[in-house]
Amino acid sequence: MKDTIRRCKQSEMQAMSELYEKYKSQVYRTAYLLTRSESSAEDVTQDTFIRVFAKIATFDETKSFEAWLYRVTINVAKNHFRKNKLIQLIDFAAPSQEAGPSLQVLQKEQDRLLWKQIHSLPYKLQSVIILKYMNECSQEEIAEILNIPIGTVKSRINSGLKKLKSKLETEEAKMLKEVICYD
Amino acid sequence: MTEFEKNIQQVLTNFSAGKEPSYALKEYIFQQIPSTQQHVSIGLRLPVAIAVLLSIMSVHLVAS
Repeated sequence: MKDTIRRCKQSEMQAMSELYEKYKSQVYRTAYLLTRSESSAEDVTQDTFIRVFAKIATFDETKSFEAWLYRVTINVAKNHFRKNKLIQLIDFAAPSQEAGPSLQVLQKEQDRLLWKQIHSLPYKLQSVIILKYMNECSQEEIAEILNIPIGTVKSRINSGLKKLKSKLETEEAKMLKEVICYD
Repeated sequence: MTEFEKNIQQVLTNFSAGKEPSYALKEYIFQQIPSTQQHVSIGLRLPVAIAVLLSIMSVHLVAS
């Protein structure tokens, strides 16, 4: 990887292509989870790689490339999220199309609820949760990516989990009540 | 990892499973690379050019 990065610094297109192929899925999936939309994820992926290739000459090779790449992705997604906040709020208000009292639907509905709750978290908690549970980053890596102390990472994870649990319990109680009434 | 954390991981994995950027995206990104790199090289060259100019000016000042 170090050799590929060095070649990228020398503006070698083949090396840039290799770098893109190696990381495109990770960047796209992270962007998708942060933005909840395929078209937004494409925009974020595009801006992330353009920024990475434009700034690669300034990348410090003694540090982790993946951490740097995730940092750029998170920052680009954050800017994108700010610009599209209104659209996201409208999207959240859309009713679920999967309704009906079966166990499978209930499970899907629970997953959808959890997914929705993850997105209702403040961006700083959301990004920590996605980095930890989707990208499987360690607390040390998250601290490096977000440039925050490890204590802050721990408290954001705890706070994110607590908020998710409490929101989910409230939502699930509501949902069960509806299902019981339906039956 | 607790059961709840496993659920979170599962949901995140399920919702992003199979998601890939389109083929056209790479082409679009790579079309833009020459212009972005040009900006970087200008950004790097400009301070060097200013430094050279200042050193020439200081030599002239000392000489006069």
